[in-house]
Parts: sequence; structure tokens; C-alpha cells
Amino acid sequence: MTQPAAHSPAPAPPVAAGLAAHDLVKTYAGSGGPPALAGVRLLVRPGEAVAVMGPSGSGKTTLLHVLAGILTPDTGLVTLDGHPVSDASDGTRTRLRRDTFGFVFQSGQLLPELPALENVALPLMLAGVDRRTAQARAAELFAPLGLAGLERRRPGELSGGQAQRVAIARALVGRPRVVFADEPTGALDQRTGAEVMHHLTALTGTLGASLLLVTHDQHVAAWCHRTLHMQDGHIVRETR
Amino acid sequence: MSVAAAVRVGRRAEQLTRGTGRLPSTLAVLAFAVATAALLVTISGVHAFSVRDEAAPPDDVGDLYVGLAFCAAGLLLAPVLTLGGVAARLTVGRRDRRLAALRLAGATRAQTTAITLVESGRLALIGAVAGVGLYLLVLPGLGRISFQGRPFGFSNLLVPLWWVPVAALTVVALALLSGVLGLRRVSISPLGVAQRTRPPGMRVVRVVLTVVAGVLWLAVASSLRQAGTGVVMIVVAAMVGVLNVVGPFVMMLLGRLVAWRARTPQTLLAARRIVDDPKATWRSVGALGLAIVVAGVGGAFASADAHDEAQRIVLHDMGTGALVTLGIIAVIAATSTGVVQAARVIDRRHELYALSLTGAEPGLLVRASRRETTLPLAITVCLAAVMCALLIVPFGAATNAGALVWLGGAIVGSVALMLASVTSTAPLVRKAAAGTD
Repeated sequence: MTQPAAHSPAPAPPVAAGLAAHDLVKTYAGSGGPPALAGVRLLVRPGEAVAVMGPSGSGKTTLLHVLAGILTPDTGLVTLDGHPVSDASDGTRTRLRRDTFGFVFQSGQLLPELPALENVALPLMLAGVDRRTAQARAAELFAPLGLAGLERRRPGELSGGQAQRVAIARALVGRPRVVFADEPTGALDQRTGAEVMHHLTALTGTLGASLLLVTHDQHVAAWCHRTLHMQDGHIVRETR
Repeated sequence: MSVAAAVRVGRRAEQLTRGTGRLPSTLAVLAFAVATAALLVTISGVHAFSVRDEAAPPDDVGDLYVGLAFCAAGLLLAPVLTLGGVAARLTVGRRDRRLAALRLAGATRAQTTAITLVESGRLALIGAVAGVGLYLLVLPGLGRISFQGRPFGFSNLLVPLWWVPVAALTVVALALLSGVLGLRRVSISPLGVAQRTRPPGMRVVRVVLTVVAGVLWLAVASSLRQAGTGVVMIVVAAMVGVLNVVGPFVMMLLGRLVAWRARTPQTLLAARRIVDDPKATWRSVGALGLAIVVAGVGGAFASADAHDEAQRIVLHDMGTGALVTLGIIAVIAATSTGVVQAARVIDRRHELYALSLTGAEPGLLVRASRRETTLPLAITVCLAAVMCALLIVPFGAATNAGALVWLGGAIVGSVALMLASVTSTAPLVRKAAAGTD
């Protein structure tokens, strides 16, 4: 008779191309509430755009932060092309965010004293690329994003939509494998938001990057290939 | 909601958000304390020399000492007031989000103003009381310093009692005034939106004024060899004024040059921040320039050859006075730098967090933050050294190795103090980067 191993390791998650979440559980210490993530599984394939929707407190921003390696899950695993992300050291996750991921926030979080071109080039400089190369690569993104001629403008001299497109350029300048966007059009009107989404999805598609986007807005989610609906830390529904 | 109710709500909100860290409040209280103590020490100096002069025979050189004490007080006043102002701005700046939330909840501008004034006034009062304690603590040490061959002692330096509340209330009033001015920036809309645009350029008139002052100086400097020490001190004070006019302009020009040539992100960020607001940058380090000029000139006098014993004592005392003034200014400058840097970090906490998310390591952000001070410091040291040379060289014989040792020591000591001050804000940068500010 075969005895089951008393301490057999947990079965390794299947290797999948793209960003995968395996049974993620995350509870905020001291919150006293239910877990923010209660066993989330998902796979975002290379080049795929996925929206995450749900009411406030449903866990969608926590999911984005865990997938991006900003937070670590209590249990479960995040992998990128089969390589563990959430188990990696803090330094490795920082490098991953710098070299492999891109971020777009609700308000661009651009540095107000830097001209647009330098704001876009900054992540490359932080990664050790020399300034001339970094700015040359940054400049390439201005025309496709409809920002030609605005390279020397400071964020305070740009409209909300322009500033958000500069933020998209900053997220994409390092040619990331995955772009995380947290309410990227939350501070914009619907028309400007549509323009921003057009640029965001078109450019991530061109680069072959995946896009994981958190939004409250159905119109924004409609730009993505599929939408995951969250409630109480679970993915309860998927629409295409 | 009444003003009193709004103040109560604001106070409660302050308590609830204590997790954001006590460092800004602590720094503000420290700055108010240093400002109050420095103000009282300044008054003490003038008071002690005046009392000694009144008790001395009419032909004594006491008048000269009183005049020099007033000169030193004049030099100290601007950094003291600046320090009070930056501390007040720190107390206002960290409240922007909370005040914006209160305005969204229906608080009027008068109510948010009242909240700010109560909070700033409270911290300023605590700082002023602590400053009085600090003043009493340093006074015995200052009392041992010898002028005219004998020390003042604690009791002679102690100001009349009524000066204590005057000094404390001056600092509190300054905090309230700066608080109102700072509030205009953060409470302009309930959304707390403050658009930043291209910084206004510096007027070329600053350069014209400086060139005119320089030419005038070179024209009259040689005749000043025969002038009285009081006249020389007035000219020095005027040159310090010129330093404050040209300082921000030079800061902007060199900031642009460094930004253009910057190779690392930390240098680029530091240079762009200088260009963004050269006046504010100068405010944070300008006092050091002042200290260097005072130390350089004082050192030149102290090491000059004297014709007789009486002149030797006067020259020696001028050097001592310059050293005391330098010490006070260096402490004020270091406190001011720390407070300005802390306010900057708080203002930019969202951007720091965003940079951290995109993979910027906290250590790099700390280094960038430090360079924001070291770069303008380097510019200020060079500018002050040039100004010092301009002041001393016309006196030829007065420049010797002793003066250079004084100047070098002053620069090294002051810069070390300021770097220690900036380093104290590193935990704030790390907190902002971690999103736990």
C-alpha cells in the first residue's frame, strides 16, 4: 500500500505564458474584515488587455498591487511566464517593476518640475540607461501618442488628457511586458478618457504587452478583450 | 458648521491621521524653538554690549561694540525670520489633503483658515516655549565668551524679562502670518488642485544691481582702508544684501546649466527643482552663504596686524563676534535646510510613491533628495567665497593664511551641519516611497 507523503510539497502551478495568479489570498492585518482577496485565479496572456471591475472594496486594486509585486499575498502565487513573482525578494520585485512592468495611475503622478520628455525618460535613467539614449527613446513615443511638440512642456502646462498620455508614454518607454493601470481615466471626461484608452490599448498592443486595468467605468472596460468582475475578494463573472 | 466646530473637527482629523508621522510637527516645533532661541540670543548680545557701554567711561570703544552688535543682529534677523516662515509653511503644507477634504465636507475658507491658524499657532507656541528653554540652556556657555578682555557672564547676558514674551510672540505672529500666506496656496479649491506652470524667470535687474554694487565696491574699497570699522561693517552688510539679490539668479543659471549637463536621475531632479523655484532654494541655503561671508570677513579682521594693544583686542573681538554670529547662523541654516527638505518631501510624497512603484529604489530617492541640498550648497559656497574674496582682497594685507583657515573651517563646519540636517529627513523619504507617509 502506498503511504501518502506526510509533508509533500504543494503541487507546482502549471507553467503558463503571461501573468498568472494562483489562488491568491490577502487579508489586511488589523482590518478585522473579510479578506481583500479570497482565492483569486486568473491568467493574462501576452498582448491581452484585461479589465477588472467591481464595487469599492471588492479587492480590485489589491489584486493589481499583488500582481505587480507591490504587495505580497498571504497565500497563493503570482507568476510571470511560469517564474514566481510574489515569492521573489523585495529587491527582485523592485527590479521587476522597473524593468518588466509599467504603471499608469489615475492622475499621472508626473514630476511637476520636469518637462514632459524628461518625465518619460526618467524610468530608463533610473534603470541605468544614459540620458541621451533615454531621451531619444522617450521622444519616439510622443508622435504616436499625439504629443508631438509638447516635449518641453511641464505637466502643469498640459491638459488632463495630455498629461495622462505622457504618463502612458512613461509607462511604456521601458517596453514593459505588462502594463498596470489603476483608473487611468478616472480624472478625465468621457471623450478625453476614450482618447486615452485608444492610445493605451493601441500602444500596448503594438508592443505586445499585456494590459491589466482597474476601472469603475464600463466604457473604459469595453476597450479591453475581456472584463473580470470582482466582489468580496472573488472573481464572480467574466464578460467579453 | 461654526469656526469653533470646524477647529474641533480639524483637530480630531489631525489626531486620526497621526499615523502619517510626527516628524513634520517635530521639525516645525524644533524650527520655531531655534528661531525663538536665536532671536533671544541676538537681543541678549545687543543688550549686554549696551549695558557695558553705559557703565564705561565716555572715551571708551563701547560705542563701536554696540554698533557691531547691532550689525550682527541685523545679519541674524533675516535667517531667523526665514526660519520661522519655513516652519510655518511646513505646518500648512502637510495639511493640504485634510483641508481639501474639510472644504469638500462643507467647511468655508474662513473655517479652514481658522483650523490652520490654530494648528500653526499651537506648534509655534510650543516651539517658542521650548526656544526660551533652549536660550536659557545656551546662555551660560555664551556668557563665558570674552569681549574687551572679560566675559559677560550669565546675568549680564540675560535679557530683561519682558523681552521673553515679546520674542516668543514675534515668532508666533510670524507663524500665523506665514500660515495665512501658505494657506492661499493649498486651499484655493475644494479639490486641493494647485496647477503648477512654468516658473517665472528671474529679472535681469538683479544682475544689473549686482554689477553696479561690485563696481562701486571696487571704486571705494581702497579708500575704505582708512575708514572706521563701523563703516566697513555697514558696507559688509550691504554686500550681504547684494548676495541675497544675486543668489537666486545665480542659483537659477547654474541650475539650468547642471540640468542641461546632468547624467544621473538624481542630479537631473535636483537641478530641475532648483530651476523650478530658485528663490525657495536660496532661502534654504542662503543663510550659509551669509555665514561664510561673515566668517571670511571676521577671520580677515581677526588675523590682521594691529598697531597697538587696544587695536589688537578690538580686532580679536571682531573675529570672536564673527565666529559667534557664524555659529548661530550655521545652526539656523541647518535647521532651515532640514525643515525645507522635509516640506519638499511632504509636498512630493505622491510622486515619490509613484517613482517607487515604477522601480526606483528608496536609497536612490534618498540620494536624490540629498542632492537637492548638496547641489545648491555647492553653488552657495562658491558664490559666498567669491563674495568674500571681493570684500577682503582690496584690503591686501588683511588676507593671510589665518583668514583662509577661518574661512575653510567655517565652510566645512557649516556644510557638515547642513548635511546632517538633510540626512535627518531620510526616514521621511523612505516612508513616502513606501506609501506609508
